[in-house]
Amino acid sequence: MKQRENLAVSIGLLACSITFLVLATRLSFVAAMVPLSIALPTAVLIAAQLTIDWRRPTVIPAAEAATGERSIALSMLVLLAALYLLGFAITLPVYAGIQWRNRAAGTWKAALAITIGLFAFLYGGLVQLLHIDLFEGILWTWFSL
Amino acid sequence: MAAVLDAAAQGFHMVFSWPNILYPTAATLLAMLFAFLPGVGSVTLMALAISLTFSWDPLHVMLIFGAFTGGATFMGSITAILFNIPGTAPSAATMIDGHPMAQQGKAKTAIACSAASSALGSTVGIVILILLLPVLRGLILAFGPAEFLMLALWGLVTVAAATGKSLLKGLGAAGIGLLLGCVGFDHRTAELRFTLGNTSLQDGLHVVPVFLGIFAIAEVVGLIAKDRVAISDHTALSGSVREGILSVFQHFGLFLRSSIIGTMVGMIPAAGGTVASFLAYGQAVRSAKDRGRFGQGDIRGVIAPEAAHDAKDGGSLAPTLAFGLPGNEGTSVLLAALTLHGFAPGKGMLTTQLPFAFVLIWSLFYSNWLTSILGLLLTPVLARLSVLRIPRIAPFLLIVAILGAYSQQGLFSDVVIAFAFGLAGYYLRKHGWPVVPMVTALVLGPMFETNFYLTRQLSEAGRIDVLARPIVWLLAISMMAVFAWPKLRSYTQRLRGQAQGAL
Repeated sequence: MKQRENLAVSIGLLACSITFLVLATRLSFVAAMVPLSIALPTAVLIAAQLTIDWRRPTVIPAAEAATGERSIALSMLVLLAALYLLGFAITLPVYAGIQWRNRAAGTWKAALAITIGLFAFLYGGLVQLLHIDLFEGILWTWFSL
Repeated sequence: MAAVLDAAAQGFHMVFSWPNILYPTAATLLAMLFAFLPGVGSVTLMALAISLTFSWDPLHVMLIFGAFTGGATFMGSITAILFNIPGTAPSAATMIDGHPMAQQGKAKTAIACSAASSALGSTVGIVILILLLPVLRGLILAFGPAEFLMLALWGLVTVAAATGKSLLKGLGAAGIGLLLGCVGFDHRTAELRFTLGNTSLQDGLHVVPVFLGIFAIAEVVGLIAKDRVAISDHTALSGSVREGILSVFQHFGLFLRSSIIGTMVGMIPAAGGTVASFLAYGQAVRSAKDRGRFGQGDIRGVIAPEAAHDAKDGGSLAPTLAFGLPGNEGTSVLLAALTLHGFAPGKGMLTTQLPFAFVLIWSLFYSNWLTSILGLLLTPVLARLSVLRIPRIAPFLLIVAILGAYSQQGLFSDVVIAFAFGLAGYYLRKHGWPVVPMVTALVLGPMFETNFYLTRQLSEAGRIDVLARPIVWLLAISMMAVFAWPKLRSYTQRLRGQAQGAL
């Protein structure tokens, strides 16, 4: 599993450099000169590293091994989606409160206090007092609120 | 020079007399507070202050804006060291060794070292600025595209130095960083490059969301995934404030070199503190006998970027005062404030209004020292934050990173970029791909490309002779010396060892 993941990272970087290479060929000579001259050797270097990884599997030390990465990545995506839909002033306090209650095993009262406190800071302090525009979320725009 | 010293004395008297001193003191405290608040920074504070101080006495405006410029610089390093979150973009270089020190329980030493380097670095920057004031205009004009190109090249050498264990991976990561630096509008051909039709990428990838993603969000993901209890592996903190301060004097040569680099880079318009910090970090790595410790909590990796970052403040005032050219976002707001209050940057600022220029300089000097002293006093308390339980602080670190990414331009796409680079950064680091060469190349890439084309065009048109420019030669020789010096040193050490063995 770890070996496959290691290869996946190298393949991802190789795909990234090849994408730059292909996209650069569509540009004019002047605009493409520097990206092309970087993308080509970069792709070669990463391909060489990929070959090494393929032949010599990397052993990840036990101390470095991580757990629950997928669920963390998924929770990050959920947070990002919530930020996009509901905006900062609502999502961030609710997220902090939920995390405090679930991950940090804090009390409901403390979680509620954190949620309200953070909302007061974001909405009251930043938006109302300092007039800093925080992202409001597209849901409110949809419903014309 | 006598006129400069006389103006310096007048400026000193204006800043340090009662009740004038209250203005930079209050402004510094406010800047420190704003630097700590997520989502707002010193630029926001300065922008807000312009409208609030419109009817103020110009002297008081100078006093507070000088303090704003210096007040926030050091504070960004505290979050960088403790949480791997760069409070300001230039603090990213401090994270490379500062955060591993915090993980080893040496947060006190790292913060104290950062504070001492900052205060002393800013002093060096200001001393150089004062010494160069009579010849400032000529010196700045001596820097053209060829010199900038060499400077960028000199910085890109950093990539090779900070590569880490695998040269292939380091160079590959640097290549990706340079390519990411090419994203956006190409000013020479008016073409959009690698934006994939996304309008928010037209201005290119901004370094702050990328930094926050690669360093801060990746760190939070790593802390949660590895089930770490606290940032520091040790509940009992080792290291001390004294050790941190003394380390600057133990590596005084490195500190001085870094401060000079910071000041010089600061003088170059638009180069900024991030370039200064990474250049200084690179020269620290290259000039070290034992490079292997860098990236794992080497105190020299804190001294160099911190000294350069704060010394840059003095240097960045040079183009602002001499030509009205802002060196960074902060000085562009400062420039607006100066103009509103009747100060015209240029010759007048360096002749008839020179005492007022010194008010700005001394105010900056005072605020840099005040933040560092307060930082030193607060070090024991701040260091305790590194032993707080991860599940309790992780959500707040993430929130700071999100607000930091968003606050730069007020674009949600920057938050998406930060998340994308966060996850990518986590997997890259987990599989041994160094991220430092990538971010260094991202910072220096646009500077390299722009000046490469300008130099080529000017050279082809017969407007400049690259080989006849002394600064180009100076930088080229110093770059070669940097490569040759470690080899020469090891060779002489080997000869010495052989001679001792023969005896």
